[in-house]
Order: sequence, then structure tokens, then C-alpha cells
Amino acid sequence: MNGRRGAILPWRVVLLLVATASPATAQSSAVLIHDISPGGLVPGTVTRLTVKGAALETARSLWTSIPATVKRVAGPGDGAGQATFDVTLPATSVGRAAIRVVADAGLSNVRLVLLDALPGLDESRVGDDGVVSRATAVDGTLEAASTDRFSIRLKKGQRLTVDAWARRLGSSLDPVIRLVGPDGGSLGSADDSPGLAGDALVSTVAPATGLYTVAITDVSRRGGAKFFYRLRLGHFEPVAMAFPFRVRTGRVSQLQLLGPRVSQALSLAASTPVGMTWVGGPAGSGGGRSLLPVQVVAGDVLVEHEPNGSRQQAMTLTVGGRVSGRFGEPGDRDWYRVSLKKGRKLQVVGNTASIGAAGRLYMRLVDAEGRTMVEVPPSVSTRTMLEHTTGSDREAWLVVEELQRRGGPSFGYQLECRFAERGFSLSAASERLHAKPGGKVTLKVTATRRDFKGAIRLGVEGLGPDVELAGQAIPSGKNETTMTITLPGGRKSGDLIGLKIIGEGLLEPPAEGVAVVERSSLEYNRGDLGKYEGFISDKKGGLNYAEYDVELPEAGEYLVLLKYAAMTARVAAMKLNGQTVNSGIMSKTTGSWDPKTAQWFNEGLVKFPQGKSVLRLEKNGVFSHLTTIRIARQAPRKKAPVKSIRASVSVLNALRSGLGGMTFVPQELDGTLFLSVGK
Amino acid sequence: MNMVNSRSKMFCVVTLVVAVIAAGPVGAASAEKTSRQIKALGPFEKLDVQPAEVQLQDRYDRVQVVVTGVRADGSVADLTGLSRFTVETPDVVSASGSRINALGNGRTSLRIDVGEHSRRIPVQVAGFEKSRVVRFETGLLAALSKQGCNSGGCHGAPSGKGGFRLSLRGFNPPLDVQTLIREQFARRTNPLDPSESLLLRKPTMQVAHGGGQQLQADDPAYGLIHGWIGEGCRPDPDGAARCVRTEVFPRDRVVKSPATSQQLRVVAHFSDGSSRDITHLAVYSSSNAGLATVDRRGLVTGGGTGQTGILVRFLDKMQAARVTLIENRPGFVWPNPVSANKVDQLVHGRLQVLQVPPSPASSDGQFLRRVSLDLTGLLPTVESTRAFLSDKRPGKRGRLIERLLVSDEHALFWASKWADMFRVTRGQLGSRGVDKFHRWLVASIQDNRPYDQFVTDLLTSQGDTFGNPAANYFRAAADTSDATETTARHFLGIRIQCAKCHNHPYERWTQANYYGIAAFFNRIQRTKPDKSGNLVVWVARQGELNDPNSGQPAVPWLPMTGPAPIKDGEADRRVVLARWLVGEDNPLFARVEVNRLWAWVWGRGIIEPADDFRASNPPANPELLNWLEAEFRRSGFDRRHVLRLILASRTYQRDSLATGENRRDTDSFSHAMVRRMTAEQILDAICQVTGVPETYGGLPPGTRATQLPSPEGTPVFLRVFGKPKRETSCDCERDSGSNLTQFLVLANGGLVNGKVAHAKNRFRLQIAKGWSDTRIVEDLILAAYNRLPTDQEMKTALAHVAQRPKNREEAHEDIQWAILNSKEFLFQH
Repeated sequence: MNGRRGAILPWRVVLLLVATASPATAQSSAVLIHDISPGGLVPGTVTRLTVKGAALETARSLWTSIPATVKRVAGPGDGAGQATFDVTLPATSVGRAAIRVVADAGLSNVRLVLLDALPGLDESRVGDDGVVSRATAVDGTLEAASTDRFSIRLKKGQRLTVDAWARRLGSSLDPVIRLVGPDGGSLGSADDSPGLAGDALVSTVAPATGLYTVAITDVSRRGGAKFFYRLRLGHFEPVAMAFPFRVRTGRVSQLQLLGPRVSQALSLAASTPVGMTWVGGPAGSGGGRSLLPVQVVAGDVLVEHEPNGSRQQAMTLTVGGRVSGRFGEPGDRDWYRVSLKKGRKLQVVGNTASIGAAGRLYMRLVDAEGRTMVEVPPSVSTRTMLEHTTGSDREAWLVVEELQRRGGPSFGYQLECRFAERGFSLSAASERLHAKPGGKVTLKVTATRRDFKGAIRLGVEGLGPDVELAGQAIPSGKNETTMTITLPGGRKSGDLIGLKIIGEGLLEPPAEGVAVVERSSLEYNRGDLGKYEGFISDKKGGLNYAEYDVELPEAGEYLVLLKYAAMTARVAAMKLNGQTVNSGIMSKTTGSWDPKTAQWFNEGLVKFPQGKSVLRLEKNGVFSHLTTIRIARQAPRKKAPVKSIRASVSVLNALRSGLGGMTFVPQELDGTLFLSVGK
Repeated sequence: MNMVNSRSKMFCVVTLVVAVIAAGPVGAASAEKTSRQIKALGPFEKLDVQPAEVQLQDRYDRVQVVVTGVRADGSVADLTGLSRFTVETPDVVSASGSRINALGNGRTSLRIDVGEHSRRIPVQVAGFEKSRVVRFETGLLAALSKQGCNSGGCHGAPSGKGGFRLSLRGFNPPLDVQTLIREQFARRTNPLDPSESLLLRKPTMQVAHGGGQQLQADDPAYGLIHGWIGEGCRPDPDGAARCVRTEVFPRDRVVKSPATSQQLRVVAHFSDGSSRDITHLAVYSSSNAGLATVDRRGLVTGGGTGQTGILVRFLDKMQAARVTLIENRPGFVWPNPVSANKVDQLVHGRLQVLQVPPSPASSDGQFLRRVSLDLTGLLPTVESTRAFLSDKRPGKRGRLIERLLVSDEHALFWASKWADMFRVTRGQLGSRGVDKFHRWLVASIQDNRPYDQFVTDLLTSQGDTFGNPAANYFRAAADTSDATETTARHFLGIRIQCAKCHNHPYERWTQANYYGIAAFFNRIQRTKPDKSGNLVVWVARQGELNDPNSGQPAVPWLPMTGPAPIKDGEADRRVVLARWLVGEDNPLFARVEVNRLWAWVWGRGIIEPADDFRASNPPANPELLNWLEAEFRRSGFDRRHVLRLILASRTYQRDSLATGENRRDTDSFSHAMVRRMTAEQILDAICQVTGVPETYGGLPPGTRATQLPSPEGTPVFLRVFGKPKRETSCDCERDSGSNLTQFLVLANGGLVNGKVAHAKNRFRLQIAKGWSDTRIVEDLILAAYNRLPTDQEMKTALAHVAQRPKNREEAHEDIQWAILNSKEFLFQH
């Protein structure tokens, strides 16, 4: 049994996490938005917005995710089921925003609205002939088994872009659109257009002067109040993406607007804050243009550029780095050089659809000889993760291509490169809370752990240092808690507070103590299992064992730590110099037999004599898959965290599943819970 | 003149002598009968004899002579069986009927006499003394195949028979070498005394043989087997000549009564450039045995009017001859009907040959009902029926066709036909996958997407099945074999699945061909579906499929073309397949689709079954199929264009009532086919006529049976009437037959009676509005039959109502029930 000296590692680590807080039992208000009219706010003007829903009689204002001036006005029919507001937007506003009704009874659910220069028109105001007289955004709702049709007169050679927004506004409608020419012939149809989250877009040039008809229906022919849409009929050239998708704040960023017939530069101001922002494409006559998201971040972003189609032309991707890339042409293949570290798991996360890009990634990591080290078979998710742990420090090359080798203005991607860390994430079941002044709210928070078993302590940001919390700990080994938040004094009715829920955990050392001796197990060819890192054990049963020669400088109690993988527990015994010292070692499981899932387990203190000893592990039958054995001195526990990780609060699940839930939740809504103070 | 007379006299003498020697005595009665038969067939202008010259090499050779009489109008008749064959030099060859056998080297001539006509052809035998070696494959295996020894029911079964296993029809010669030469210590053969070989004694029943007597000593096959054994039971040497193709004569022949037979002649061509008559070794079968049979010698005999394909097989080579039999109708005068377009011209051409006059044109109501059901699956409404019947403008049928072709109902109905083919089910594709794929199919029809693009999209599809619904094609065809067989069936009309395990027994496709096609699909990968039911179809960058026969990677292979031109690094081989499939080099793609379009509006294909293209299944009208194929290509694979041509033809618009003269025609398109409406059509029609719609779980109100995206959860009614579960990709899964259960469901079932008795039934609402009985009955007949009631119908209906003065509603229930159970309602005509 060959072994090697293990490094002495400071294993006492504290992990601090900002939880993706997710409310559990929340005091959700009954204030609801069912419908809004119009479905868009016009920048630079006052838009009279009618909100229909429930418990709206005490509505005071609107919360908006973008700068806006809101004034509650008296509208005909206002009451519990309706409230009316005048909303004034700056002329530069563009894109998509979220609104909520702020009422004495609480805060409403979210409704997404477009910031759209196209004049809005409710479908009820379209004549029986369905004809709209100019470029228009028609707001409508589909009934089951129905198709809505609208017509617009075009001159020969005039462009018509039909941009159906439904999923991207949180509607349940899965739109299918079809454009029919004056002669009844089809000019195109679309279901899930690339990069539009399930929405549809058709753009064409009128082959003749006449009346063109657009039909919109649901792919499953369903319908109802949740099947709303905004059908934008404009004369603008469609733009597929603003590249790069992600830029750094604090400096002017150059964007390229790319579309089938568009390639245009655009500057993004240095003052653009971190978060999701929007830019517009070239405007068409009569208003209207493509609306494109851009993510602004604090750190650097590597922008992919050609030529990088070979190993020699590879761009350097640093761990911790982020990439905005695109496949400019069919068959495009992008190469990145990556430095791997021994024993560290590299993770490369790729995204397409979540950033509004078409396609799906196919990624592989190749070594210096061009051999594929790992490839990522595609999954249904458009988020692709490549993972690899290497046995030595080395260079590798990440090859990224579109799964179907497609390319063009719609095909882009985003990468994040990191080493895997232990930790956890938190989620809350509600994204809004409501309390009386001085009152309490409770919130169920659920943890999803990643190789972390310790306790998680929750904190709240946004209510000041004096906030009183109870139940704010998720105990070690548990995954949820119901936290009670008592509002501090000074909060009055009408206040609306944005909260962040933060989780902090002490990272349990995977192996306690200071290593004195550490040895790997042998590599062993297991035939049917291939070359295999693990304990040598006879599959046919019988007594299996391994003996290690251990030489220690001094007598005393030492920790024995074993790193192994086990799908089911295979309990073994440990003997020192022939005497059984622990008959219940290797009792834990890791979820898999794959050595990649191996974890450290503390098998307890053993009293060793000075000098040479023989440590023997034995079992009748096969062993768990042992990869490393370590003898360590106990080390004093450090109380202070040495490392903290922060993340934004996630309320995405809550937004999806809550009352008035959305089929599509934009990432920009994540991170904040709202606490309304009222009666 | 004198010279001629002199030669004739001399020839008569010779004829008399040789006839006694070669053909034996011919009784006067028999000769008289033959003479009468020849007269009945004639008169003939000349004789055509195949081959023009007989060449024989050895004692194994046989040459089949085919004698054809040519009439003044160019029509022909087979006279082989009525001919007298006389050999001038009996020691060179002998004539056994029309079959010539070699006896020794030399030159001579063969005289053929038929009635007043006589022909002489030269005969040569050379190399007789150095008789050829009987080759293992082209001699022995051909002989065993001829006798049926290696057929699927005998020793060609997977496990053989009686411990003796041969490869099916000799498709695997190496296996047969092992079995016949080496297995059992070669106890089946005795080269020292071939006649004592079990291989001969068993089939001749000299020793017990479970299969009975299959061979006689005078069979040509006996000689070959005997010869091969006697020559030492040798396998073929490397480079031995192999059969590369076969030829059959005649390829296409009309046999008009009183003629009832046609002799075939088959020639094999070998890789060394030689060719040989193998009529006596070929295996024959008829695709329409009810019309005509074919015997072991290649003589086709039949009666009646119709067409059959004669499959001629020699080892792995297949050919087919088309034989059309016509029962001559003396005095038949072709009515010379008007043709609306080329479809009519080609159909009429065929009908004229067959002496089958077409039926007259259908009535407007009949046409309206038929074309509506064919294109939309729905009955016309009463309003549209009235409007159509009262429309007096010319061209109204054409306008109706145009309107229906662009209707949403047409797209929905025809998408369901595709959905049947592509197995669109929730079980296969998930609920959302069904909706996405169905919608994609509907949009393809609405947009009239060119068929080549449509199929290319399907065959090269990748990605998630929600985002790219075409990828559901490979979700339903869930593995390499399925993708291979489904693609071959749908787009090439080839049922190739047999060739997965062995060469196709009735077609030319080999096992290597199967794996060659499969090699286009083996890199397709499918992820597991996620919670939403979505999955991703993608193509691995590498991976080969092994041919189980060779153990080597299968080479992607294109039917009728050969190995596919795959470039290095071309990961997705399907692109090459799709490019070839829709390209000029592949005639099948367009032919299969126009045949399917024809079948979908006619009830049967020009080739039937519509997805079974093979040499032994000839088209009912090849000229029509060829022309439609050309039109389809010319139009850029515009399906709507082809449909328009078919629907606008007089042929399509003919009455479904057969005349006395075309009653027996089933495949020449002389009259429209009467066929039961499909399950979905019947249910929708019942809903429409009663005014009581059906609802389907999970689907919005207003959904019709003909528009259901998937078969799950549909009423029992639809299953009873044969709606397929879409478990296979075969059209045959739909049961279009009639049975007792259907009758009971219609007559006594809850669905029909429930709708008839429903409070919102059409007639109840009409009674509530104060409609008269006459008006109600007329409306009902218009709704159900799309015509006005006859006087008799009206009289009967009103009499029935009058008999129930106290229960008018019940009387109308009865009338409606009777109509819903009538053939005129249930059938498309």
C-alpha cells in the first residue's frame, strides 16, 4: 500500500451565505391584479392605467420597478375590483417593467408591462372587421378554442413585424401567430421563436398592397383570463440580440444590435446601474421597435470575439470569469483556455434562453493532445453545466458550440467559470409579506444544501439592526425553518420595505485536524467498472482488508479520517496493531458509488503508539469506495468565518407558484421580498 | 414464286417428320382445337419470337421461347402454348414444348408454327463437351431456391427443419457452404455416387422427408444438384461470376380474352459479362392470385379484368412483370368521355384499354359532400349545401375546392392524418409535445410548406421538442431501427423491416441495405424528458453502427444509388440522406407522396397499400403515377397543386354508383369508391346532424373528433369505428371495416341515442321555433345527406310523424335515428 504525505490544511472554515430567501408561511395580502389596461406604458407621456383585480378599494399607488411617477386617480368603475392610475415615464424608458398595487390591505402580485412607444389598443376597441388603422400594440385575452384576428393595411414593400408578447409578460398563453396576405396565402407562422421564451415573432415585407391579417391562438387552444397578450404590429426591423448580453457598470459599453437585416452600434451609459436594463432597436415608422435586455454587472466580462475557432486561437477564460459569446455563423466553434487545479472541481455554466438567445450549448473540455476529457450531453434545460475534477494542475481547452451547429444573429451564450464550493441556497415560498405596525410576520425558509451539513443562521436586511427575529436558524442537518420577524418601532402603515434574507453558515471542515499522514487508495482495474480509484475488494465476498503502515512521531490520540463514496452503507471495522478500535466505520453514504462524490468522514479518535503501527480496515464483503485515508492531529476550532459568500435573495419560485403566479419570471425580479405595513 | 412454293413443300415434309420425333403425335381433335383457339385470338400480322436466336452451352442450359402474335392494330397475344416447335437437327437440341434443351454441339434451326404463320430462328450449341462447373451460388443455391428447400416454411426457417438449416432463400451463402459442405461430416452429399446423396434422396422421397416430395429426377434443379455433388461439392472460388441483374420478358403485357395466359422468359446477367436463360430456375409468385396464377415454368394464367404483378426471383435478384387481363367485350364502344385535365386523360386511357367505361359525373350534392369530407373531414352545413346547390355560376366546384384547401378545417383534419403516421400521442410525446407537434403540422398545411422542405425539416430535426416540434419525429421513432423503418415506409414507400434480420424475402432489400440506411440515424440521441415532458433530440459527433453480418461499421447507403457521399467530419449524416431523398436521383419520394395524396382522397392508392412500393405491387395506372410525380416536382413539391389536379378531375368527380359495365372495377378509377366514413368523421357528422356537440376531456369545447391532436381519452365510439391508437406508423392501423359492434353502437348505443334524445337537438329547437314537419325533414336530409329529400323519403317521413300526432318529437327522433343509421349517411360516396 503506497501512500503519500497529505498537506496540512486549515480546515476550520466558516461559510456565510446570503440566502435566496423564500418565504414560507407568509402573510400574503388579498390584493390582486388580474388584468391591466393598457398592457404597455408609453415613455415620455402620461398613461392612464386601469388595474382590475381584487381588494383594490384601498389602493394608494403603484410600485414600479423603473423610475416613474404614479398618481391614483378616480376612474369610472373604480372599487374593490378596479383602480385607476396615471403613470408618467421618462422619455428614455424602454423595455419591460414590473408593477404592483400598493394598498392599505397589502401589496399585490406582480404584473409585467411593456414600456412601449407603440400606441396601445384594447381588443375590445377594435372593430368587428378586426382592422387596425396603423402600427399598434393590441392588448387582448384569448378565449378557449378561439383565434383572434387583426388586420392592417400595408403598402407593397412595407415591413410588418408581428411581435407577440405573452409568456414574456407572465401570461399562460403559449402563442402561435400566423400572417396571411391579401390573397389568403400564408406569409409565415411562428410558435416558439428563437430566444423569445416561448413567444412568437414574424416579420415580412408586404408583397402587395392590401389588407394583411394576423391570427393569434394558443398552441393548446386553451384560453381564459390568464391567457392575455400584447400583439405588437409595427413597421420596425426586428433585432434578435444586443451583444454582449452582459456589460460592466461604471464605464461606457459598446453594444452591437444584431438582427436579420440589422447591425448597428449602440452605447450604454457608464451610469447604468447593476441589474437588468433594456435597450431598443431601430424604430419603425409609426413607433415601435425591438426591446432587448442587457445585464449590467459589477465585475469584468470577457466578450467573445473571432478568431477563436481553434486551440491556437483560444481566448483565456479565468476561473471566476464570465463570458458573453455568440455564434456568428453556422458551424461556429469557440475555444477557451482554462487552467485546472489539482483536486478542484471546475464548473462552467452556460446559458442561452435565460439571456434571450436562441439555441442550446454543447460543451466539452479537451486536453493538450486534443482528447476529450469531458463533454456535456445536452439536457432539456438551456442551462448547461460542465464539471470536471483533475488530478493535477494543467491546461485544458473549453470548446463551445451550438448543439445543432447553428449560428446567426439570434445565437448567443453566456458562460460562468468557477470552482465548485460547498454551500447552500435558500428559498422562500412567498415574495411579499404584510404586517401591522409593530406586528409580526412569519416566513418559511427552505435550504438546499451542497455538501454542507452545518447550521444556517438567517438575517434580515432592510429593517435596521434592531429587527427582532425568532426561528432564524436552520439547524444542522435540517432544511427549513419558520422565521418570525417582528417589525421594529417606527414602521408605520403605508410603508413598503424591500427585504433581503441572508443565510450564514459555518462551514464544517470536511476533515478536522492537521494531517499527519495521508494516503490515497490504489487505482485498480475493476473490469466491468473500468479503471477505478477505490478500495480493493473481492466482489465475490469473503474477508477483504487493507493494511496501512503508519509511523507517527509521538504517541497520542489522533483523528482517523476516511474519504469514500457509498450509495448504501457498508459498515467496516478498524483495527490498530491487531486490536479492534472501531467496529462501525464507513457507516455513511454519499449518494453514489462514483468516487467523484466521495466525502470526508471522521471515524473518531484512535490512540496510537509512537513509531510504526499497522492500521487495518476490514470487512466481510465489499467495501465502500475509499479514496483517501488521513491521520490527523486535532486542531482547535476557529469560531470566526474565514470565508463568506453572498448571493441575492431568490423569490423566483414564489413568483411562479403564488396566487396570480407567472409562467415566466424575469430574472430581474429576483432578489427582493416586499413587506408592506398596513391595517 | 416457284421457289417459294418449292421451299414450302419441302418444309412441310420436314415438319411432319420432326413433329413426330420432337413433339409427338398430335391428335386431330387437339389440332383442331388449337386451330380454333388461334383463330379466336387472331388474325395476326406477324409473329414475334423471343429470343431471336437460341444459344446453348451445356446440358444444364435451357432456353424458354416466347411466341407473340402481333395484330394489325399493334395489339399482341401470347401464342407460345399454341405454337408447334420443330427442331431441324434433333441431335443438337430438343424441344420440350417451348423449352429448348441442348443435346450436343452444332448449329440448327427451330421452326415455330402457329396457324398460318411460321418463323424460324437459328440455334447453336457450343462447348457442350466441356460442360460447365455447377457453381455453388448460381447453380446449387438457385436450384434449392427453385424447389423451395430454403423457403421460410422449410429449411430456410430460422431454426431449419429436421436438423437441416439453410439460409432463407440462399441469402447467406457462407452459412450454406458451412451447412452443405462441412456440417455433419458432409453426410448429406455423396460425390462418389451423387444419386445416393441425402440432398437428392430426401426431396425425391426415396427416403422419408417431412416436407414430402419436392423434387423429381427430370426437374432441371435435380440435374444441377446432382452435378454440383458429382463435381465434388465445391464452394465458389474467389471471383466466381455472380448474378448482377435479371431481365424478364415481357415486362408489361395485356392479355385480352379469349387469351388467358402469358409465358414469361427470364434471363440472368452475370458479373463476367455472360448471360443465361434462367426461366426454369426463377421462382414466381402473383400479387393478385385471385385474378391470375403463375406456375413453376413462368406461365401466367388467369381470367377476368384486372392487373397483377408477377414477382420473379432468382437468388437475391427480383424483377416484376405486370400482366393486365381483360375480359373482352365484343362490340364495346368507348364512350369517349370529356377530360377536364391530364388526370382524366390518363385514367381514360387505361379504362379504354380495359374496356371499362367510367360512371357519369356526380351530382352537386354528392360532390360537395365528398370533397368536404375528404378535405375537412366534416359534412357541409345545411346553409353551405343550400348555397352550393343553388349556385348557378360556372366553376363553382373549382371555387369550392379552393375555399376548402385554404380552410383551417382542412389543415386540422389533414394534420391528424399526419399525426396518425407520426404517432402523435401523449404517451409518446407528452401532452405539450402533442400540442406543439400537432400545431406545427397544422401550420405546415396552412402555409402549404413545400413537401421537400417539410420532410427535410423532419429528418434533420434536432433540439428540444417544444422549441422545434419537428424533432418529435425522432421522439416517436424512438430508436435507430424505428427511425430507419419509419423513414423508409413514409418517404420511400419501402417496408424494410424484414431486412433487419435477413434479406427481404419478397423484395430486393438486403440486410446490408437496412443497416446502410440505419447508419444515417444511429447517432441520434435523446435526453430523458423533464417534468414538463420536454426532451432534446441531438446528434452525437461520432458513433458507428455495426452491420451484424460483417461485424464492420455499416456504410451509410442510399437506396438505388449506393454508398452515401459522407464528408469527413460530417457528424449529422441525416443531412446527406435528406438531400438525396428529396433530390432528382430519387424517384420514390415524390411518387410515394402523390400516391398517398391520391389514396387520401380516393380511398385507395394508385399503388395499394399506399406505403408498399415494391416490384411485385405494380401501380394500377403507372402513367398516371408518373405524371403526378412529375407535376409534383415541377410545382416545387406543392401538395396543394397536386390535390387541386386530382380534385378538379372528372375522375374524382364521378358518381360512386357503378354502371353495369364498371361494377367489377376496383382499381382503375372508373367510379368513385364508396367507403365508410372514418370514426372521427362519423362522430363529427352525428354531432353536426343532431346539433349536439361532443366534448373531449381536457380539450376546449368546440374541438371536433377530426381535429383531436392525440387518441388518448377519446370516446369508446371512436375506437369501435377503428380510430387508431397510433401505436404503429402504418396506415393499416386504422380499421376502416364494418362489424357488428359498430352496428350495435349506432343502433342501441348511448352516444347516438343520447344525442337524438337531447333537449337541444336540432329538430327540437326547430319545433320550438314553429317549423313545419316538412321543413324539419328537409333540413335533416340536407344536413345528413347534403341533398334535398326525394318525394318518397318525404312522404315516408311525414307519414311516420302523422302516425304519432300526440308525440311529434318522438316521431322526429325516430326519423333522425333512422337517418343516422342509414348507409347513405355512414358512407362516403
